[in-house]
Amino acid sequence: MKQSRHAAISWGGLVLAVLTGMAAAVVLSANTRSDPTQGSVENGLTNPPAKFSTTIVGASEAPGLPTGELDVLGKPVLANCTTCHATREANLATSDGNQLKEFHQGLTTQHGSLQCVSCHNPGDYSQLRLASGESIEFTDSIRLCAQCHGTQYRDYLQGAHGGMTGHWDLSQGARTRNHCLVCHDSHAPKYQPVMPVFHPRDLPDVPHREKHP
Amino acid sequence: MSESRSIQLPVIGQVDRRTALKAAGATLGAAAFAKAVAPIVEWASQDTSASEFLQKHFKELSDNELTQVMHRLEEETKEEYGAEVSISDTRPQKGVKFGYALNLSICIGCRKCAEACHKENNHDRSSGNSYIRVLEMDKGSLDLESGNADYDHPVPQPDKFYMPVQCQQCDHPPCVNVCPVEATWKEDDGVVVVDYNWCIGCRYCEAACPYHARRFNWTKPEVPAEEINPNQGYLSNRIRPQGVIEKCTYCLHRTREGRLPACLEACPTGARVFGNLLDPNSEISYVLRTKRVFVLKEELGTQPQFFYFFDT
Repeated sequence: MKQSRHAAISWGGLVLAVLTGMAAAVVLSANTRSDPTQGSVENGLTNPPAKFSTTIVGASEAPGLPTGELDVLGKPVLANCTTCHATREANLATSDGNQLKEFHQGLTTQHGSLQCVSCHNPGDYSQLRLASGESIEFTDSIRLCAQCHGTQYRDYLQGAHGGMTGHWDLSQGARTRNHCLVCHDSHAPKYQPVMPVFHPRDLPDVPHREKHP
Repeated sequence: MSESRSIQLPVIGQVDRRTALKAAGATLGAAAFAKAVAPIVEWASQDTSASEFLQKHFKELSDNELTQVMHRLEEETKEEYGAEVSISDTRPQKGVKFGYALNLSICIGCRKCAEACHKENNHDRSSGNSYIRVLEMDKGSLDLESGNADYDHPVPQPDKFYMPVQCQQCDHPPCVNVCPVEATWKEDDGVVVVDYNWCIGCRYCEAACPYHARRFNWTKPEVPAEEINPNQGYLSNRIRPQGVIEKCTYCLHRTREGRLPACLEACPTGARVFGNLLDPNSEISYVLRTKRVFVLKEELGTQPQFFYFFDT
């Protein structure tokens, strides 16, 4: 009896020793293991590499005038701006669509004291123009906005301005961000008032609550 | 006497007065006991399975036990709500502490965030519950008591600003300190969570929170099966039982997998900034470094991890 108990204790000790050794080996290997997918470790902080990209949605293509015709796919056929503008001299002083006799009526501009050609390129109306004179595509209009709205652009670049969906952690998934034009109409950029949704129904201490639970 | 002696009960046989009284007393006693314990028996047999009754505290559950618990909850959701859901428990990521910032210059008070919270977190539909309350405030004042959550007109009004308030995930959370059963605690990534199965519903935490961020389930939450969000976390948006406290978890079932919180994705103006405070290159770190951020009721020493700022 006594002998078998001794044997059990010594067996237990042996098993314990083996387990401890295995645990130590695991800890050591964990310390020495370098996993390239885990990113760099800097000051004790893991900086996982960004594996996924950020997509900006809502940029507008070069506009056009609906001709009333539909193409074979059923999409409206648009007349390019240059169809008219190539043969007409630009009026550099125009600042509102309602000042014009043809087209553009109803296009009210509420954007500081800008003229049309502050942004539109009078040399090529299928493009936009920076203050430097550089001609840029419509899809590249963030650069145009950034000329004046530098603080917003700065915050936008840092991810602290503008709506987004997807992942905060770009090592785990992609992100979709809004273009300026998603929230701001280029001709009247102030965010327009909306009706709030989802009126709270659990408010205490409001005078016209419906009923007490 | 002899006449009464001659009357015999058919089954029991010869019974004297004492035995009959004893038997009657015992029967009455047993009936009274059965009546007295009936509610408990009913409760235990209907609303609570034995395994739920015996379930341990979240932190004492082994991985295997937790898996079984989550599986049981999935089955119960299917039975009670008719919805196939997946309940998981994603642990905090190493080197991540969540922070949230809100740009009060940009928020227009549309309450889309509160609505998104309602849907994401499987809130009771009839009470219109949400973890976010949006206060309409007078410009030039930060007096929360004069904030009005009961507005219903086009927003933003020119003389107002709008302040959404939700759980501030405090570093010194008073709600955690007051819990008598340790059913609520702060996790390693900064999120204050509740084990809904351990909560006894005393509502001390609700009273202790200076931000009115906790909600109590007065009734069993009712959500139509087709509206239930099937992506659920044990410590976050799984459908809560009646009689327990719940709160914002920064959508940990999403954010611990790298995704943005539902309220941020719903924000049409981009007023919300979320990310890892420990990453110096994160968006939230940029805001804390460059903006004049403030926290609500700083003087209480709760050290919120939810920050507000105005554009500069």
